[in-house]
Amino acid sequence: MTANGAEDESKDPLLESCLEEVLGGRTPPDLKQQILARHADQARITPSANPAAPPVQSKVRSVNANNRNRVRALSRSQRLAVILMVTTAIGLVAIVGFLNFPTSSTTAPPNVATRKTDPALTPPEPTDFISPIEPALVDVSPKVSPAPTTPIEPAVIASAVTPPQEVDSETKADPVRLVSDDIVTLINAQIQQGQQIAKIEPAALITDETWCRRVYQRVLGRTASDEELRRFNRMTGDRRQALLHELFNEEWYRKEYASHWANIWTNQLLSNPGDTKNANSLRAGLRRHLQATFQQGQPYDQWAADLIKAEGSNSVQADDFNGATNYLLAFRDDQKRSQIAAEVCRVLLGQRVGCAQCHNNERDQQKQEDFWELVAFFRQLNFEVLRPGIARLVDRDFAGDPGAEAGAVRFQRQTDGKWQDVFPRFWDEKVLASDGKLADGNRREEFANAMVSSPMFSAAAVNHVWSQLLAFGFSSPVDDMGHHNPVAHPELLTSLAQQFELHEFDTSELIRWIVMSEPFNRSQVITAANGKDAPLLGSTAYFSRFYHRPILFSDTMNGLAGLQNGKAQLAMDQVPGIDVMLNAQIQSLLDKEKPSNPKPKKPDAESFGKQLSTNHQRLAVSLAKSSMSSNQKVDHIFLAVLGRKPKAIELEQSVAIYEAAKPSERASAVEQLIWALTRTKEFVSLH
Amino acid sequence: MSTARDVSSSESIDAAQLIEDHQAGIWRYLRALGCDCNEADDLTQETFLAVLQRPFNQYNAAATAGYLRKVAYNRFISARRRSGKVVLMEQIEEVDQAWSRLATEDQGEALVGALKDCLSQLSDRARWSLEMRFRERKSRVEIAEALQITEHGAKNLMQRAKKQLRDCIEGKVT
Repeated sequence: MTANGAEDESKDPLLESCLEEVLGGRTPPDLKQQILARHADQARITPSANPAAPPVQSKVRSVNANNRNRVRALSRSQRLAVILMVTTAIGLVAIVGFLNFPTSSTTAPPNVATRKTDPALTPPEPTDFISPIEPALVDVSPKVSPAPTTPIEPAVIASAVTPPQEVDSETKADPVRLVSDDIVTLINAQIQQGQQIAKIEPAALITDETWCRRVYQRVLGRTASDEELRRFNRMTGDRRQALLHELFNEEWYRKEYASHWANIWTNQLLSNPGDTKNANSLRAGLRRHLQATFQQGQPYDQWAADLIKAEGSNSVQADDFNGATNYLLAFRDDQKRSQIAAEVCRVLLGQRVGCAQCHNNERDQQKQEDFWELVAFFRQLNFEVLRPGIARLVDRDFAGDPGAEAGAVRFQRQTDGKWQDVFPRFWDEKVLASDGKLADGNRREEFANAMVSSPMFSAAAVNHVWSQLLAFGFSSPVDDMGHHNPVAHPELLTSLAQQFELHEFDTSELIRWIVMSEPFNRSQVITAANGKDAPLLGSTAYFSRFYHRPILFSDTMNGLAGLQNGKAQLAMDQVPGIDVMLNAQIQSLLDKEKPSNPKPKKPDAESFGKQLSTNHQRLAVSLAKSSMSSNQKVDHIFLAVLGRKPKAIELEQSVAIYEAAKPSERASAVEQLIWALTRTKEFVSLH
Repeated sequence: MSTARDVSSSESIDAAQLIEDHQAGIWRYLRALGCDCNEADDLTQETFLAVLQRPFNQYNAAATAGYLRKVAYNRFISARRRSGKVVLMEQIEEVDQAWSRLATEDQGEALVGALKDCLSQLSDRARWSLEMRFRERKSRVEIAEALQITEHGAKNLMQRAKKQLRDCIEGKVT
């Protein structure tokens, strides 16, 4: 009970909660079955032999960094061949066993056939909440000739996931490289499993047109034009794959893709720069570098490692120009290099280690020395300032901190106040006991190599890309996957991270898997059956519907950047969903009016056309001249603006509005219809 | 006197028994911290899942309850932080201490039982005001209208009733 509760009736939550229970009937529910079901599921999917290990990190770190070097990348046909051989062998053994049964049952040890009848050797029945994924051995036999339409063999899923109770750590199989279709099926299966356990009904799947519009929005960062939508509708065969192929391979789209994702990654990497004075120029430099990198199609691990290892200057006139240096130069003002380690780990490894700088972080099981061992990797790094905003990254011998051993970093322990010397060490890996001389090794290179080999690296990358495409990642926030913040769908994240590695860190492949999966193809509609799925309110993301993503600052910046070139209408097109208020502000800026008048003016009938984007203006002109029927024109408008055909009532009302206008005002009526649709929540919410 | 047992791994803990023994207490504790029913459901589940994933010493029921409460407390703070809600730490600490003092032993059963007794000792009007507030979810204006008093009068009436309940419960439980 609170002492000051008498002053305000809302200040005694303990008493109020009890009153709600006694008077309001809000009694404690029986959650035993739900907890046990989830616990069993966790135990099943957590491949950790050590129960004391943290649930997320252990899973991510338990995969040996060298595993991916030993992984056998089997093609689909090779896998089928293996399955066929195993099936044949088991079949032969079973037949022989069956033929020998009358004699062997009395004299010989039990063979395969008799073992199946032995109750003591019968494997335990799976519990009722176990996933549809079956153990590999169970499902091998009927797969003699899988139908071409079979999307994925459960055995393949099992080999990719390797549940711990089926395969012990000694005989754990390496993950196998799956083809895209199999990975999509894997995503769908894992997400469905989570929804089933949580008793959430997913929203309906979207149409091809909406998917197309969504892909343009999330992959290229802009809305699809009506011409692009029409072209998509004209495509034959597998339209979705054809569109993705176009987006990732056509030069123009590749440029847009590179620009959009360079924006995203620049914002992620430099969300907290140390050099605030020159942050803008460094941000622009890094963005240019990443855009060029993405356009060349460099793998994720390569460009990320280059940012850590970068040497040279960020001056384009200099002989040693290297755009990648902009990243570390952004932390130049931080003299202790500690921010570099914290930021690199946060963005590229999904681990927030900053707290351990001053004290042991019990929640994440991070020790102070772990943090300073990471900092030690960056102590050979030096900044040479050439002129404001222009500097050079160079590595020099590091003699060690004052009073410390050669090459060691010294920090004061919070627990007992004593000083401790540490050498570079990447978490669980062995200490890099160098005396800090470059001749013995470049510590940043060592860090970059350890980083890209770490399972945390690929998991963090998958989490970032997933969250960009689906609005929420596996963890919230996306760059915090520490022990205190368990990720949602850990099994899926681990599998996707492994597959990302096995596909040579090809980001376009990762995007392809995600946009083809069911989570990306769900409607945004919130229903009673999926209302529980509300990650915005802090609950686990079950991806049973497509989450609304707020307009990103980068989107707005892109739009405003367009303004500076006087391309107001184009800029509006680049900022989908920006509302009437911003529109009015932009217009007022262009008209050189006072910008302090944000209140939107309701346009009169003649100004509707001026409010439309260039593409929509062209559409209005073209429809006004067209000889199509009213119904066809309305169909066309809906398809162009919302990416779908109108519903019956929408069609009826729109046609009524159009036909109520005099023939001389039909063009204006079309403009009004387009204008109205661009102000709908559906248009604003980016589908 | 209870003696310390060996460190138990999550496999050796009787999960069903642990949940059955402590779920009501944890749920009530989370409600007292300020969770609504749905949030308390979720965080109770998360608390047990987190605890079952790691081994811990089971010394006695009170120690286990304290450990579970600590985990629930941390989950609550994290959830609030993730959702961007402001947490008044002083108030939370106060609730935590009050819970430790009044409801540690029996998962809050005695507290709820004492409240039922104490409610019967209130005047009819005071009890009606609380029943309208917590059972019928009426606003203060509606309560004032029903009791034919001013809104301010209704507020005072409920405050006095709660003060009386607090004093009564303190006397019964501690």
